[in-house]
Amino acid sequence: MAGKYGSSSASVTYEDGPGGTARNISQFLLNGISVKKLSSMTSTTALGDSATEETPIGMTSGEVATLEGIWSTTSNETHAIFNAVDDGPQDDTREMVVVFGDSKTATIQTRLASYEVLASVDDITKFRAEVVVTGAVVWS
Amino acid sequence: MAGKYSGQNVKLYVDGYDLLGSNPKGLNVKLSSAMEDTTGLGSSAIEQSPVGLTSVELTQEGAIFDTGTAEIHAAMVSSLPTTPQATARVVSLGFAGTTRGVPAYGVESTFNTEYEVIAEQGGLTKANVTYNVSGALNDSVVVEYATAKTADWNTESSSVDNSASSAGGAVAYQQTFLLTGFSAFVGTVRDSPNDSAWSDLIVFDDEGTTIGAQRKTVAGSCDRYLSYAGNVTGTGTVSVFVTVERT
Repeated sequence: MAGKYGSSSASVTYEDGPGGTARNISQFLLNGISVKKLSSMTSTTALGDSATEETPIGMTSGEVATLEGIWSTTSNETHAIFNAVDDGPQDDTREMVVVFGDSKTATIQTRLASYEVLASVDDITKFRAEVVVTGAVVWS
Repeated sequence: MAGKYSGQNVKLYVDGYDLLGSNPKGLNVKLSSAMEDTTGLGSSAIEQSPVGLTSVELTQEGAIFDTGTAEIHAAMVSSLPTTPQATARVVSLGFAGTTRGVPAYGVESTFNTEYEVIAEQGGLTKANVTYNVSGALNDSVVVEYATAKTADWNTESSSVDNSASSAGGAVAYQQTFLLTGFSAFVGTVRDSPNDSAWSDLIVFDDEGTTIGAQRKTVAGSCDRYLSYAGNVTGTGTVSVFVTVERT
């Protein structure tokens, strides 16, 4: 149904390795999820213009917010999914699929660039994973 | 047991020193892979590829300055490297407790690059440590956590099952964080194809008479099951934390 949606409608799946199996990580993410698609511009302001002008160059890029949440050692959960960063030049990508509601889906090919485990007093142990987007962000 | 964990499940050992005795407030370990922009002519979207180089960051936040034997001041005061030939430190850490088979980390080659002691008005004196890691992060499992052993022992009756053998060798870390009285202590990681017939896989050097840590590797095949055996000489007490990564 068209309209507004909240975090209860969002879901995220992420492959557990390059070209791996998609795992639902929604239940572990404590800080939400954001997907950004960008189009690169170049300034085309020229002599005679009274206002600045920008023109797309035909190149897009994507950004995904750092994933942060609950660290779990259960099989197919966050430690198993993120503990091996992608370090092979021939590695396949890892697909991330984010649904924000009303079946609006962003599909992104990524590389897992870093994985961090954080333990602190009076809290459960958390993880933090940085992914870099490679290729286009595809909305459907 | 698989699942979620908290700060109470953390272990941190540096060269046999148990640094949790100084009550650090936080512990982070971060593994990163360097990427290169491989976007070329004809691409319509930015592309990134791994270059095959990883790095490790290890951060320990806010410990209490303690001059007790085998506490943080003894562990750090003389540890900063002063020559290019300085020996790196052996670090083991865990976030999931000490049950055999749970995940843990060994850090291949670590130097303490900063040791700071801070006396503050109205508070306990604190000690901060900065680590610089040179080498790999070994994603391991706990094979043994034993405290106050007074005689030879082994874990063959409660081994760690990998479900299958592996062929790429292994890396083992042994942190001996308590060692008193004995004239010798030798730890051994052992493997078995059937959980009954055991053979030595990695034999650590004699730890002698004081705490310490060792990192050892073996090439070739490792059988499905892993266990640990501790062999002591004389009368005394020993405690160890041992982890293994199948590489």
